[in-house]
Amino acid sequence: MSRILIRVLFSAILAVPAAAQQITLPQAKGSVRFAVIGDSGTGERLQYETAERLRLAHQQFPFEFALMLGDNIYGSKTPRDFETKFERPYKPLLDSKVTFYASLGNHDVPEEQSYKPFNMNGQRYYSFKKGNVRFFALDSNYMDPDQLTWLTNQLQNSTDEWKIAFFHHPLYSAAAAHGSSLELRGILEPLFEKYGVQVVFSGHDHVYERITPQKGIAYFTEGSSGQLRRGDIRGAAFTAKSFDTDCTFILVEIAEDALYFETISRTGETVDSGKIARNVAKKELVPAASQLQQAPVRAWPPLGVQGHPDPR
Amino acid sequence: MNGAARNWLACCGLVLLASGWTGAAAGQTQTEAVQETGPNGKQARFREFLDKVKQYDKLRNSLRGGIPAAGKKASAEEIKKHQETLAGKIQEARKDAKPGDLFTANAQKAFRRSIDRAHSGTRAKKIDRTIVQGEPVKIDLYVNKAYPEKMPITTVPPTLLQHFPKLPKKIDYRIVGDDLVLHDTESNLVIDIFSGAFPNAPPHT
Repeated sequence: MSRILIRVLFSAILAVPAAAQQITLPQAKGSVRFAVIGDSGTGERLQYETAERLRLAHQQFPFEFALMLGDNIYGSKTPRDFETKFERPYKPLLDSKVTFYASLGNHDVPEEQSYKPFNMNGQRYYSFKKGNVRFFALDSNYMDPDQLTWLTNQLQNSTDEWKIAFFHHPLYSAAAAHGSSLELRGILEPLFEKYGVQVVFSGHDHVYERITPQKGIAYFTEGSSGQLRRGDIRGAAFTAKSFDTDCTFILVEIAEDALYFETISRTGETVDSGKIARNVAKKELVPAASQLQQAPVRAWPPLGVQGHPDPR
Repeated sequence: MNGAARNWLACCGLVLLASGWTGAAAGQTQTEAVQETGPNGKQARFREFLDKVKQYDKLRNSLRGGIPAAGKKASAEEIKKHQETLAGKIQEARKDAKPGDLFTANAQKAFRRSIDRAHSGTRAKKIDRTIVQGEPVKIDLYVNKAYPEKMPITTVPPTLLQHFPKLPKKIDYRIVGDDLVLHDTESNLVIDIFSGAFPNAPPHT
């Protein structure tokens, strides 16, 4: 066993270039800072290496918490699995008091809701507030009427400036393996639109993808923080940026009316970055200046160009 | 208006209401209220099934006493211990459990009707897509045995959940192959199986 551990650690060291990456997020005073990981809990080399990159990123960009987009523990669910697929890879972050907030994927078991480090407080779906941001963690495996009623009430009662939802199944995805969850989209998107959710994070497809804003909502798929399905992106009219050749995670900073994001690969490459303006997502969504030098992406289409035909 | 016509209109109303449930949740709540309390409402159609589910929940509650609670902030060890201890007690108490104990013939008829209603028209394609995207599995399950934790739990289409009766906490529906399964998520036991509930289920792995 110790040989396996040494091999994993050795691989991790090899995969991480000595030169530290440069995080370009503004790190404004009083901002809300967090990371986003999805489909992470494999317990395998790619998860450990991506977790190590996340640890390095935390040194430069000390985020306070991390969102987990489901499939947090793949396969068996013994206490040892919780250790090897979560506690050990993220130990440096846990030791640094980074709080993880989990949502459930189809490879998770509902009883993970009681697992203390996931901070779900015994609930399959829940919300929490950080600064001027309200987060809504949903269980997209089981979107029953009770959950929809709860979500509606929560959204109605939220006076927070930012509303961010996260759950496992993506409403928009150009990945071949799963693609867009159309039934779920038909139910959730009208609520998000009506009650002003600005940003949605999902996983399930083992790639990174950012979607051209739909009905004023910015969608991200981050399903490759441990799993990876290379070459799975087919490309769609709604795809603004995608990356499917390595594992990734997203760093996010919300400073008053702006949300900045930077997506970093296992090897430390910034594969995407940009800024989303609150309440003007329909009118303005531009890549950060720094991104233009680091990772060219397709230009954002003029906003208001909503409702791209969805071939999926 | 005779009874048949009234029933037919009620069915049309339900289909229209259900098809419009992608709107605001307030609308959904209203739709649900009609379905719950109407003459063909879920409460009436599923009364026998819901009574049996209630009995199971009562049994589980009684067996839960004396077992250390996992609580809301448990360790992995505490969760596992609670689950296994509770499962052992339930298995002992239901040692004669068999398929159809909860999914009785009447219940199966009611579920079949709900599935047919939900799985119609343009919704059928979306429901099938949801099932496929949830990584459906075909595994051998047995009543009063554990759901294999290594397998995905499968995604239950929201439209079906809208048509199915509400279950107590920590009891979920699952679709496994072409079967409808009642799953106790607290003990991870299969409570009952309705074999062949989805004869036209999409392909599974």
